[in-house]
Amino acid sequence: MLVAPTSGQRPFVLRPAIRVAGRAPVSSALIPGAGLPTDVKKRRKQMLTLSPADYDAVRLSCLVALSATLLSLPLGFAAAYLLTFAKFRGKLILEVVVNLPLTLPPVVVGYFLLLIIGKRGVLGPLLEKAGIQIIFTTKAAILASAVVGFPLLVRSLRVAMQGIDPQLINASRTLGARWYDTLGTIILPLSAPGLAAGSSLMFARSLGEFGATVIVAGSIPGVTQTIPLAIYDYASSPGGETMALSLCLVSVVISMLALLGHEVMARKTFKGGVAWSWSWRRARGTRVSTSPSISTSGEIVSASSVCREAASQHS
Amino acid sequence: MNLLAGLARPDAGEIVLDGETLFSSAQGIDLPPEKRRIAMVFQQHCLFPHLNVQNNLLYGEKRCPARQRRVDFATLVAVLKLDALLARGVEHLSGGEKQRVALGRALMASPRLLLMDEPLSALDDALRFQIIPYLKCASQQFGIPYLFISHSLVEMRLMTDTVLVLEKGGQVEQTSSEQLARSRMGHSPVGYINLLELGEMRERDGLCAYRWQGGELLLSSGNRDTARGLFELSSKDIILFKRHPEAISARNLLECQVAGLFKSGAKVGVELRCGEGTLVSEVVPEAVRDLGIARGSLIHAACKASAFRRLAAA
Repeated sequence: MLVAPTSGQRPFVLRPAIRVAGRAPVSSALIPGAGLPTDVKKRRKQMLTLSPADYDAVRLSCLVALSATLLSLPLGFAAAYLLTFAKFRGKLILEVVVNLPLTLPPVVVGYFLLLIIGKRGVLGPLLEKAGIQIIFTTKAAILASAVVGFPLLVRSLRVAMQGIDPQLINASRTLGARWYDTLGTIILPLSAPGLAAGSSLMFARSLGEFGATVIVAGSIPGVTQTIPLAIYDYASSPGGETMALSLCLVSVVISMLALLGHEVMARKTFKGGVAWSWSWRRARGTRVSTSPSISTSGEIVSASSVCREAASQHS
Repeated sequence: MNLLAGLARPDAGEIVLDGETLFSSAQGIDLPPEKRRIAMVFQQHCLFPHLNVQNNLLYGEKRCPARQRRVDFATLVAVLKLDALLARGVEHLSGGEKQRVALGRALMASPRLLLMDEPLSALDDALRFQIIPYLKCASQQFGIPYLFISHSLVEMRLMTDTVLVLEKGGQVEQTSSEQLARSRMGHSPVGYINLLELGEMRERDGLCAYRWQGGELLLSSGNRDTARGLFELSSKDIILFKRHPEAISARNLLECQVAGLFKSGAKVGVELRCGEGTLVSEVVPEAVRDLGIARGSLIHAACKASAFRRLAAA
């Protein structure tokens, strides 16, 4: 049965708890309410440095974004292939479903994911039987990123596939290639630039993923707290502006690298295409909405305990 | 073409090749394109841009069962003169080279039938007639029959013996290409095109003199660099004289025997025998009466040196 969490049990009500306790390394975090340790105070005076916890967030962000992208590749390729070449009933519905995460608020996507894989969700009992815990683990963060970034990957791939001359596919068929042979030897190599462009775009989008992640994965440092969540964390505690800014800069650098990669690849696929400029604007838009919320640190115990509490209440 | 190759599905009917049913709406048979072993040469070359020439050529062969392979790679490369191109990317080929590679790729699949869908239409005239010998030679060498689709009568006459005339989706005529060209003479603005393969060129007074049927033809359109060539001469450009004209400006005067007459539209075609060669001239019925042209009569034919058009170096 689907049970929507009531207000007050929402897993993303991190703000009050974080406000009370500051973000700190694991050792001092075990004592709730102990205040800010001296090394944090010292560090705040320096400009733009990263704490070990920040490095954790950066590493985790890259891991989540990379895994989400790699896991989505086969499915994204299949979806793009079906949408471009196959004729079947319900194609329009598939198209809408694939693109839905583009227009839905990520929070809504996260909420739907919760309704599906949450302990009381559709697949909850099944997952529990199999002994698989997804909610509030890194897996959940990867899943959230994958779902939200998926349409960007599929769109880039579709543009690349639509650019393939159908006669090339016909030629390969008349030369004795079965459909899967053609898929592997003609369509895949010819849509490779689109695959690379879509992957880099999706990677960049995954780095900025906040809304869906915070709902299904929470903000557990070292486990699910990616850069945007850490920035939010800093921004919600007093005096964390500088540290938030350092993470913001890291975020900007990684995103710029990913988008540069995307630009290079996308130019190989289609020169000055409408779809390309569209996807570029879209990616920029989402980054603006998630990352630059200036933030502060929250104490690990409080943050993770809120998450666990929320998880148990929700399940 | 697409129906034959299996790329499109007919509404109804039957397609049978060598006794094997490829499609039958009644029996519910529809072989997929890869099982039909019918290769295609497309209007555009359709080479795979991510593969080099050699891998393009081998694409079909790799997918053909070993016992069905009939085309030897080395021979094909020699016949189509592709040896210098093998390592090149297909983007770095000229139009004619691309079409030669496309032909080679189709042949390497050892098909039972080769479909050519206006393979020359994307090429300019000079290239078109350079490719034709390759097309014919390659299919003869490997014993692969072909179906050649074209809108050009000249291409048809150079490529094929039997012509199926299709109009509005239905077959209206089955005839020989020569017969078709003659029957269309009176309706065509260019008349009947005489195709002449000329050789042994030597220069004379700024013109090219080619040896033809014991005499010489003087052409202004010859190419001084190549000794042999394929030329066209329209039936409209041949003027007939009952007796030897003493002096005319046309540089070619041939003594011929009338081998036959045929009607085509409002015109009469006169088949002229000149040694072993044959030329077709077109005249109005009134001229036939005036000159008393009949089968077996001797006649003089004149044509200007500038009336010849060079199609290709042979």
